[in-house]
Amino acid sequence: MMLDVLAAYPNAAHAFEAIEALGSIDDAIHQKARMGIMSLLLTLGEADFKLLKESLALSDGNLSTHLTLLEDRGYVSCHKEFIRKKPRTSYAITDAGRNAFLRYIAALERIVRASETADTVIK
Amino acid sequence: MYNQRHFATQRAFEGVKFLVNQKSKVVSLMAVIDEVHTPDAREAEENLRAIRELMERSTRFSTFSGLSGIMAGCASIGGCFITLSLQRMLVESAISNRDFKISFLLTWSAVIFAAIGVDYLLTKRRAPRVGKRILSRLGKQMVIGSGPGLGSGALLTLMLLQHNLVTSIFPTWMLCYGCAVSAVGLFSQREVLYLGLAFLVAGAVTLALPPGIGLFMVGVTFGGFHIAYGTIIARKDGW
Repeated sequence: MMLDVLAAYPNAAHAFEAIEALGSIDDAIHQKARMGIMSLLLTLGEADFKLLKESLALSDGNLSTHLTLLEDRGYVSCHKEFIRKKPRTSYAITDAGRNAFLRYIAALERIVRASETADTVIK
Repeated sequence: MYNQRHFATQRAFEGVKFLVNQKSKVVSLMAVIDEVHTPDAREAEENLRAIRELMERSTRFSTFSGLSGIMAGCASIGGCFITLSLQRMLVESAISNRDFKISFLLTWSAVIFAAIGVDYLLTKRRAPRVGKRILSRLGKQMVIGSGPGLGSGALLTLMLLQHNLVTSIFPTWMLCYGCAVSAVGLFSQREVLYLGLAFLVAGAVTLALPPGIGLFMVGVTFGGFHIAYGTIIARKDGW
């Protein structure tokens, strides 16, 4: 049945690719601040609250909220310790988080590519 | 204006609608698409750019580990002691002038290789955290930034050795190394830049001091500064 569709609608293949890409956007990551957090943590492996706050220019509460959401999804792990009596909270990306973020980037790239392919087809 | 990218998304939805009308199992997909926020190509491109920019910016934070600084400092101090005994042997005529020069070059080449080797191993240890792409980009920046300074230092060292101006080598090292490190520090961490500037100042000061104190200043700068820098970075960023 799918083959009939593809025969009748030559652009359906692109449609399916676009649909696949659209469906796989992770809404836990697809948000400006959370995207930033995942980018930083992917590069640095781990970062403390202060570094995230300074790099992303977010307020304490805002950053906390997003970090909690990512933690609940299992993308980020939190590690609290005391360094010479001062508390230090550091966040690290988990394997699940790394995979999810890489998949998210791949999905974005597919969307861009699918639209570029559609452009050439239309031309 | 005819928006071609919007047209692509429309095509996608037309395709889905057709399939839904055929009562295929893609019906469920339609429900998913309605729920999830769907970025169009422009938004996707912008997001990708933002991600890339953020990741490149954050390489600034992962240049050197504190431990490699401390190791480099210890290697330098070791080199100073070896040079001290070489100088003593030369004064006592235990070795020839030529032997001294060769041993001198070998000693400090060994110090450099040891420092770079330890740093390489330590960086490899951090690699899974930092990411290979980022590290190779860092490496390229470091080589290009420090190349001129280190190259000049090497050439001047050889020339000064040839003319038997060994005591002038030490402040030259500080100045050239200071240039190289400052260059790397300009596009990475501020602490690296300060380290470079410290070497430049120390080099200038050593030029003004009597020549006999040169080797001691090498110990203070290449040894002490590196150890101090390493300790500060290790305290701040973790070992």
